[in-house]
Amino acid sequence: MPPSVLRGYIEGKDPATQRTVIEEVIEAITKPVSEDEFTGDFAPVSRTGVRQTLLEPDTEDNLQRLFYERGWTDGLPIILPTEERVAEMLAGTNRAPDEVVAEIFLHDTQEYLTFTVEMVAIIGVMAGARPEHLPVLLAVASTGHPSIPGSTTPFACMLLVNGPIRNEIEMNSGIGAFSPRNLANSVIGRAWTLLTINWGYMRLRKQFWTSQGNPIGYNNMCVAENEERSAWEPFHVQKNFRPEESVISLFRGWSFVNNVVGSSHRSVGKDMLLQLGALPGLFSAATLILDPLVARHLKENEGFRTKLDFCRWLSENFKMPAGQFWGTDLIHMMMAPLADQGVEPYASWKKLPPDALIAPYDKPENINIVVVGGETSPMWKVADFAYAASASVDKWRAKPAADGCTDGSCGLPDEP
Amino acid sequence: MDRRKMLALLGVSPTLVAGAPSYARTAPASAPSAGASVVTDRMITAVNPAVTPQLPKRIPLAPRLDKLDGKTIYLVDTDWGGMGQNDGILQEMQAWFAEHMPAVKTIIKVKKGNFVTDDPALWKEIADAKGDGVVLGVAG
Repeated sequence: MPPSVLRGYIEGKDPATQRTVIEEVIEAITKPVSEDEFTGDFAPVSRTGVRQTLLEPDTEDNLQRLFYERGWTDGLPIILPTEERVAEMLAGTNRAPDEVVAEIFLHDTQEYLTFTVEMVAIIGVMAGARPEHLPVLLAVASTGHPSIPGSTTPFACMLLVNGPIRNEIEMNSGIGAFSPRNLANSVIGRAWTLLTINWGYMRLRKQFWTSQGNPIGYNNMCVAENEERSAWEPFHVQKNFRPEESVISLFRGWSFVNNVVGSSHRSVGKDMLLQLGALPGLFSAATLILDPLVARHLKENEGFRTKLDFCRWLSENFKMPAGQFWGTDLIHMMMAPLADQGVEPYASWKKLPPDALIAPYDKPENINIVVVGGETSPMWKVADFAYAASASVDKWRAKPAADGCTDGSCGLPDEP
Repeated sequence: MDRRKMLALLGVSPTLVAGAPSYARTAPASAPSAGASVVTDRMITAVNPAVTPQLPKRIPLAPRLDKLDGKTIYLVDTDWGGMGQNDGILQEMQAWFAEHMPAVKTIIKVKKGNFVTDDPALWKEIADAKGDGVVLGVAG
């Protein structure tokens, strides 16, 4: 960038504050430290640690407006959390309302908070969840992972549910599983973002910096794996949970690419290699979401016995010029320091000429495969999502697991 | 190729696509809209969803400088965006100080690791050299 442009930034206005940048820099190192420098603006809570349990009685319209204006919602209307509704929600778990589920630390504002079972139940009510959804919400909350991390980048997350609870609460893993139609998928995904909001991650210019945002944040691609129709072992079993255990798994990245129509001119694998080329390949992370038809095709017709077998094939066959890899800012920022420390294979890749081919998805275990879909067409999605965490749902349950539907399309209302 | 043929090749029924708006007509015209107020003045008591953040114990900040004249300020590149992405603007900032505040000495350093990793060696180097202040940048 020409020096004149850079000088313009220094002498120009800070887009966030409309003040001259260099004046702000000088002020930051000369203005005395104030008493309230680190205080947040998480109105209306006090900083004494005392929480006002009930809000002043008001009409529904006024309370809806209050919740929105206080920044407690995602902008959509909520179910107002009355004491009765929260008590009903708490029946979904055998845990005490005051049990701490997670301790959250907000890096940007240097705040921490503890989150109890009751607080998760309140959020569940607001999201439109039912008591039977609460164990899933508690498992998500227990990870402490926000669905919209503090960043100027447009982070996106995915919430996957495995195990018997998928069918008990009628989640959809079949036809249109990612579409806005199924109650459990919609409200559980939404609740994760409402949790994130109430943890304090969405305060403008305090924790919330994303320049464009990401619409995935409305329900975080909340979905169940179609274990019944999958050709391979469920995702949670890959993560060493028992098949009969109910588990949530979280993924984080930015983007996904849809396959459209099919792959009659190329193999499925070759199409996926092309799509992986559109993603950065950060730390070898990718997540493939395959319709059961695709998974079965890969196993039965192409001989990939396990998910990992196919990931190894992708790892070995995806190639990218070293110059293209290192030319991506995200890669250079996060991985070039490793190369400089001598970490292989990055150190060797860094020494290659720009047109030399490398295999950036060098860790097949970092490529995740999830089977979702209704088998109406052999579709898939390729995402840059990295696996973030898993947590057991069962420890939060009010009652043990039961049998459910077996075709992966639970919870879809019948057509009129 | 016309639109109907193209949709048919994609396996999509042109009739289905054309008929999609009909779903919107199934609701009676007199039905209240989703956003309309159907609740009257009944008073509701809601539970407060807000949590109480607390500040952890922290190391007190160093006192800020009373003035910059005669001070040494380090301009530290955090490596946001990858190595070599930020030194241009820090060099320009150094030039700005030379022109407008020549009594301020500025030194550019690049922090090791990526933007989220610590670099204790650099902080020690700055402290040992009796640097008076640091401008840490650039974020993105």
